[in-house]
Amino acid sequence: MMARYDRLGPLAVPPRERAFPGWYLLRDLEGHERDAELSRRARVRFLVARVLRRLAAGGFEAVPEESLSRQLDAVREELGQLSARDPERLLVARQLHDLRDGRPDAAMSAALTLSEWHRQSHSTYAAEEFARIAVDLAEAAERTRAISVATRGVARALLTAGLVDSAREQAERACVLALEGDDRVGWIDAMAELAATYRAANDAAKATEVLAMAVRRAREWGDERGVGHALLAQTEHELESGNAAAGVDLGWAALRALHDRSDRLAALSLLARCFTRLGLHRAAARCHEIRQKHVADNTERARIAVALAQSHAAAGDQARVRSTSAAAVKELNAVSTRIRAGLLLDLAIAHVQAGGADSGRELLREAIALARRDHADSELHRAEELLASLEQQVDVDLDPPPPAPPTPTALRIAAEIERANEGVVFAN
Amino acid sequence: MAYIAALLPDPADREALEAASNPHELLFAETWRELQRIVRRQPISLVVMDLHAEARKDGALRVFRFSQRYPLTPVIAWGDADGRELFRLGKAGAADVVISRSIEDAAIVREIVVSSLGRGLGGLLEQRLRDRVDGDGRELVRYAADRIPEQIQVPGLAGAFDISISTLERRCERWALPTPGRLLLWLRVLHGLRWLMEPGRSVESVGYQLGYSSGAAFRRAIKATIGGRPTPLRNEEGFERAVNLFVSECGRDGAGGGA
Repeated sequence: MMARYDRLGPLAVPPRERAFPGWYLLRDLEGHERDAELSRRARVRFLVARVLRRLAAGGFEAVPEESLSRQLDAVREELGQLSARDPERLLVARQLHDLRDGRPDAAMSAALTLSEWHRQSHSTYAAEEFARIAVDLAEAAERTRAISVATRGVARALLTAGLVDSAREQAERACVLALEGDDRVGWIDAMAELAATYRAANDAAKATEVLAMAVRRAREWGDERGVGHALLAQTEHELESGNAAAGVDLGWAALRALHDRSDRLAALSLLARCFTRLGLHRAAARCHEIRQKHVADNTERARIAVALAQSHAAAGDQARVRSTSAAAVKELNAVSTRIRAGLLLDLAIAHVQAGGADSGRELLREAIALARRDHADSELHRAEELLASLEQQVDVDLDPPPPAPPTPTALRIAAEIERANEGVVFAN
Repeated sequence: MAYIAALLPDPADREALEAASNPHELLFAETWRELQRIVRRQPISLVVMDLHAEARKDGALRVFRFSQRYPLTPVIAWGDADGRELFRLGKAGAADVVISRSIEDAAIVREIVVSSLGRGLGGLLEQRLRDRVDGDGRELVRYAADRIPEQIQVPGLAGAFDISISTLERRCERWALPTPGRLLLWLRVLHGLRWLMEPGRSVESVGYQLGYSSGAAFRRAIKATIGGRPTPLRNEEGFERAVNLFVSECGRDGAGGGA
């Protein structure tokens, strides 16, 4: 029961060490306490976190198998409160299935997967809590490398929440742990996270310095994958710093240094973003098309599908916008409400750019409903503003800022990418 | 053994808590008022409270009121709560929650009870001694601290570890702890100070609960450990100072190390 005026609402948040296990993720409810749907989801998240926290606190051997199994069944039952096709329900059900035998690897992987999913969905407290649980699980299993990976997850969650200083502390800790665990690629990834915190604090010079050090060390070690990861981080840094042409050079170098399929897909993703900034939309579309064939993650697939439609829209190819956006809408059903709202907005803009004002308006209405449901204020504001302009037939400037002129090298690489077949994702 | 006070009107809930609380002693209250009375009169280490014990009452608000009044006594909220209610319970100061679905699983309830009891003095001391005393020594302190409400004495402590009093004394020396008698004296004083920080408790009543024959005897115990009178110690700073003094008596560089 809750009084009309809730006396507990204005109370200060208890410090983490005083709050009960798993409570911190419930903070995503802050300001939305009366949202019944979010309350249901928060309870499910809490129950999942309790299972994982239990494994971390007691150690993997200490939790009786039968009790763990019963607890998992209870969470599974609780999932029944969410609709059968709900993306969060499907994701959690998969993780619960993997947890059955209480293996440390499965538990850590579940915690990190959930953390990343919530981070992308802007449920930042849930993202942080699950990443912290992953740290505790890795500590319980005494795995230094895994502790470093999970700590990086905490840093990423904190950075998404805008807590730059705390994120930096965690990224620094991840760097130290990676070196302790002799995980060179892990150290480079942690350095990339550290650089991201400097970038977020508008200290691009420091970020550049951190990444230069990462590349230098990777070369000294003669670790080709490490060099590739460091180059990927530099690509992202140049892209975020508005230097997409340099990003293309670095991304291309990274692609050639990396042999792992997931690494090469990550390089293509960054290259696509660089090409888009440079107005090289055909090359960007080719990157998306290649990635679409190899990526399994639902959220990533949806992002790729929308990005492909955007590339076609920017290239003025109306027919392809229509055909690709139909596929994109299908992919969107498998992602969280928050991400769906944002991607529908992007798709709507692509439609309007390609001259499809009616279909654009329809997509905008859908985006508005979802953004409202998920308290996604910035998406809601943008979508409402755009819809209002379209309905009043006011000219809206949807075109992105004019692209920076591509360098000859960027043009050459773009041409190579356009000719590339799917084999580009496999080792050369 | 610790004392756990519980407001659980449903007999099935009481049974579930009993099954999970061994060897601790449960004191069941019939009403919210009685629960408070029990906490005021007995050295309670943990409270378990059914969120829906009273019709048309906000369970989370009850937890809040209790935590405000007795901030050193952890409260476990018991019963069904949706996400919003769980969020409010955290703000209200609940130490943990037993969700309805978990009630039949004694293992889960036991883990929650044990971890919430760990928020008491025993858990606090175990944490503070981590860098000064090894695991076996900390286990002894924890065991003794948890049994102060039962008025444990040195022979009982030695018996619990299946050793003679002289062996216990030798082990305390090896673990860099004060002698068993002084250890129990300290723990009684620290327990007493914690209770004195909560309202409605007099030096006389706390002394009596700790097994002293009078309030004066408890005052003498404070003088023998911390020095001075209890009144200036009835606040967080005073308690913290007392804990620090105790910790400084433990470990190789402490008085316990050379005793």
